[in-house]
Amino acid sequence: MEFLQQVANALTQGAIYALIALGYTLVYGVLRLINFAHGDVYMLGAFFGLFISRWTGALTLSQNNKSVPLWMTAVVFVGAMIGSALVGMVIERFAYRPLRTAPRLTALITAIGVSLLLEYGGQMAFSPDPQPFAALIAERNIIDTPSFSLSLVQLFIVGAALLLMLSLNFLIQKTKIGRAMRAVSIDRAAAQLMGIPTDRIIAFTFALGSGLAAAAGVLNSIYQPSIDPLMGVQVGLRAFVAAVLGGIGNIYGAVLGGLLMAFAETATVAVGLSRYRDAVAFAILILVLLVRPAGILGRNVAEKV
Amino acid sequence: MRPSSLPFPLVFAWRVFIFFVVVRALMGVQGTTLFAGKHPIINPYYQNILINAGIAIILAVSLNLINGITGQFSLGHAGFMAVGAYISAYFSKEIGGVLFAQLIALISVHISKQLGTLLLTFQQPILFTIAILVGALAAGAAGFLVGLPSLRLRGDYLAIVTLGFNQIIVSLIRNWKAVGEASGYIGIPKFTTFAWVFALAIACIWSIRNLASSALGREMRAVRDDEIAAEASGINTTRVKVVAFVYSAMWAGVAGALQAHYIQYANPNDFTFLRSVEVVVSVVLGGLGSITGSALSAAGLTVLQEVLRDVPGAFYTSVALVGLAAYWNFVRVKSEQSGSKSMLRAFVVPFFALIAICLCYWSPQVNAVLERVFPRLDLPDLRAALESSKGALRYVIYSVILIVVMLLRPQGLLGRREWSLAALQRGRRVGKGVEGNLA
Repeated sequence: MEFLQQVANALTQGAIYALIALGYTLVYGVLRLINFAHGDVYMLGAFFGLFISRWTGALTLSQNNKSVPLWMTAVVFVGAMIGSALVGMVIERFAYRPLRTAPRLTALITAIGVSLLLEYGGQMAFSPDPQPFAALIAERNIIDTPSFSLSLVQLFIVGAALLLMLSLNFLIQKTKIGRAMRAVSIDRAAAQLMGIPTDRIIAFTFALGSGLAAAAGVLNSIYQPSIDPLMGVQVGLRAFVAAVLGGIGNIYGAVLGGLLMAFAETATVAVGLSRYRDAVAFAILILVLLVRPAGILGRNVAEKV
Repeated sequence: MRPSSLPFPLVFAWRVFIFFVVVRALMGVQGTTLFAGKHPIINPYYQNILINAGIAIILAVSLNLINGITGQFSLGHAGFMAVGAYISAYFSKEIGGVLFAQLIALISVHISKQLGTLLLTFQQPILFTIAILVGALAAGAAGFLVGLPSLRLRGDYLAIVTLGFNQIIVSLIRNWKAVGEASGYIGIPKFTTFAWVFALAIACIWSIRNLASSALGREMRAVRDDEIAAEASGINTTRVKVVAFVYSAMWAGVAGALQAHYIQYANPNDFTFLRSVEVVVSVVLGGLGSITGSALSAAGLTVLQEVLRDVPGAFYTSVALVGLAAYWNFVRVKSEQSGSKSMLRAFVVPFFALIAICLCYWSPQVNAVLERVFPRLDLPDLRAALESSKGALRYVIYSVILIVVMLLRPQGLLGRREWSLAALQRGRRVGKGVEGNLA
């Protein structure tokens, strides 16, 4: 049962990692850019969630130990996702689009700059101290035995993440805009020649990835209800490792990588090496990259001369 | 020997020395010396900045060997620095002193007592030299370990792996009991002086410049420009890349040793990803591939960090940055298209940025005026807000500099050019790239 409990916890954490990793992988797919600022968009998502729950009154409700109505939870989610999507599009428009033709390294460094700007700008705007988050989902256990407990929050996180992933899969595989995204990721120039508005598609991809990050931010804040402007650094890094692990640019790889990452982390903690969490995560990444340089599901593309 | 036949850093050091001699002669005050005495020319505060700048220069110039000259992308320089800092500190605190005492005893008994006492007087520099060497060798070994995956990985993936190594090293140090774990390593002897830092910074610039202009350096640049073509031309790209990593890591280790023996304290949090990013920023800002560019921007950023400690400093820095950005934007627009309308448009964003900065800076005064007209506005005091968040403000301006430079001047301040005083005197810059300097 102890094992089952660990699996349930890992699954919850893995769902959150997977949602963030999807954003990294989507952007990498269309732009070949590591969006270092993605972890900070996740942080912004959590803060948007906090502001909206303050505005709708969900925060005061949860502080008075009253249950938050479902519509407020939905408003917080949708609002945070829209806010972060807009931020993502603004970042793309002003920091990455002018560098479309520049060497990829340049854009990577700009991404680091945007990340620092969001982190420390966030410290200036929201204060560097941790702030409590609203309990948007009732804290109650669905299964409650002495050896195994599953909370409603955990179930909600896994369910919401699954829903978002399935809709993303539908969007990418079955819709017109999804087909355009796939076309851009295969060959941007050819896609443009076929009449696809590549700039708009890339902006949409950023909005999509940022929205998923915001959802992950709100989900994680419900799970661990304390948020601060640097919360995106570690989680973002781990999700990014997850995306690379699964094969960056591949959405199934991102989900797989996120789950693997969470399971590895839970296993590390379970065997009592919790202080080596970071080291283990990166050691796994390096080992995988040494064997499969393009990640587990990534395809290794031979370089053309 | 004609001055121009000397290597550039030596000439530069010579000129700096002459400058100080002249300054001292001009002062003519008794008891005035460069570093000590009643009225030192370089007081402890400036000395602190100079030492920090020297360490930053060693870091930036050595990283330039990997990122600028060999064209690989390392994001883990602070990891090598940590290895150098901790290993050398551990040596000089726990091992070196005991070992040295035993050695002295042996020499005094078996060889000669005079030699023993002589060695004893030079205990500190000898120990420090060995400590630095040990730190550098350990960091070099770490660099070898990181260089190995670079054989298979390119671009982004290599950046991630080096970042991962940095995290792993920091994580291991956090769990290493003998060096204080996460709370930091205290009680490191204070060996670092300005002279050490100055000499080693010169040595670093000199050796990396010479390496870059040697046959091996040419191979490095070939790998940077086109790895496949380099390999086809018979260059052992594996060897070239590993040498770059090891040599660069060794100098990072030296910088780490200097820093640990200067602040007498080492904390794993000082060697995280953020520190690596700082080094990358100074390399990119100076121009990837330009050694003098890295050195200048590393020194400049160190000074800037001091300037950014207070709000007026941040104000002047921002205004200067806006001016520079406006100039770069103007140059860019001018080279792209002509027409007075687009020329004017180049100044729109800088103009509004300048107004925003001024509004923040004079926020109390502006608020006072506005509140007289609209009494119920209740405007926030932006300046007070800025003053209460000094640390964050510093990094905000830092990141804005990074973004602006990347957008408007992606080649950095100097591009791949080198810069020298001799060329300045002749009123022009020398050459394009390292080759130009060799002619």
